[in-house]
Amino acid sequence: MIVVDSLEALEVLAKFTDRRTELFQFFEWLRDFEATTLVLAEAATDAPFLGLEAPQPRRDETFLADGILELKMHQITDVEVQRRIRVSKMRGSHHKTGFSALVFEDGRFQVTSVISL
Amino acid sequence: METKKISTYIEGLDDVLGGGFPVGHVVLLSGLPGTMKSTLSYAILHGNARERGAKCLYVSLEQTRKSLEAQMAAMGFDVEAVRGDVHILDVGTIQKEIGKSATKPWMEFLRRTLTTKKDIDGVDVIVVDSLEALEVLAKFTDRRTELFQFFEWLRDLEATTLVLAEAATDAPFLGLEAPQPRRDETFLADGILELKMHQITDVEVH
Repeated sequence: MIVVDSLEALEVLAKFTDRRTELFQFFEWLRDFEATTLVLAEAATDAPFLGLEAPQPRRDETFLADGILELKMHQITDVEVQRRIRVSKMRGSHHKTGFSALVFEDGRFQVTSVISL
Repeated sequence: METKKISTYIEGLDDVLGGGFPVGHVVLLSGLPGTMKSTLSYAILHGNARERGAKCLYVSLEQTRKSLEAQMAAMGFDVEAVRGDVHILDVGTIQKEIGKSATKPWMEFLRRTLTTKKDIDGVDVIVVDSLEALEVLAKFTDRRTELFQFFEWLRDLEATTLVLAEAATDAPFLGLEAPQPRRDETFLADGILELKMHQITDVEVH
């Protein structure tokens, strides 16, 4: 398993001239590795990555990737903010589409249903 | 005279469409990643092949055939049962092997391949996945004119074509909620189907 942290840092290093083609080639090269790869991507705002709330420019990497996990902070009250996670794309999987809570306690992560709305 | 239509074989969709897709139309299927554009369009080809033996072609520009078939099999489609009628043109693998050094005339390649397919085997329904990938390959210099010519050429093939288009945001494709740049393809296509994710509550997205 591989983690690439992050796509934006890679772009700065690689100085892509034809971004979509080079990303396509890189992702294919990763697939040929036969490892499973997580590529960390910096969302532009805390608006959901895919622009559910605010218009966002189209991001080629979201169409080239096999799956997308979206992390966000959700404000519950004026003092409480919760981490949330959503699978917005996973090729070949009957995945859920809604948000779950992402909790980190005692050194481990846990994903649970959201109780407080 | 009533236009001849082809069924989508998707429950409920033909009613919404007023009977299916008019034969020969070029229809955009637009949506963000994860809205199941590829799966829905494959389902339409799969249904047409199984139910009426239609000759179908899925032009996959950025996903290899191996990956696409594995994805569709995992979603429950019987890929083997329609292998003879649903062909996948695997431009993804060709592109991957040739690399970016190639200055291949991709549009010419695509036209020749589709013409050959029609001559040998016939072609009733085509999926082009995706318009944005085609643009990257074709390096249009006069986008609207070249798209117009490509869509006209597809109409002359007399197949019905679904062109998958990547929406910029989940605001409706035609800019009903937020200002969007004008997209020439929406004016050049005969029809547009829009797929979206809709946030129902702060937790549920369907």
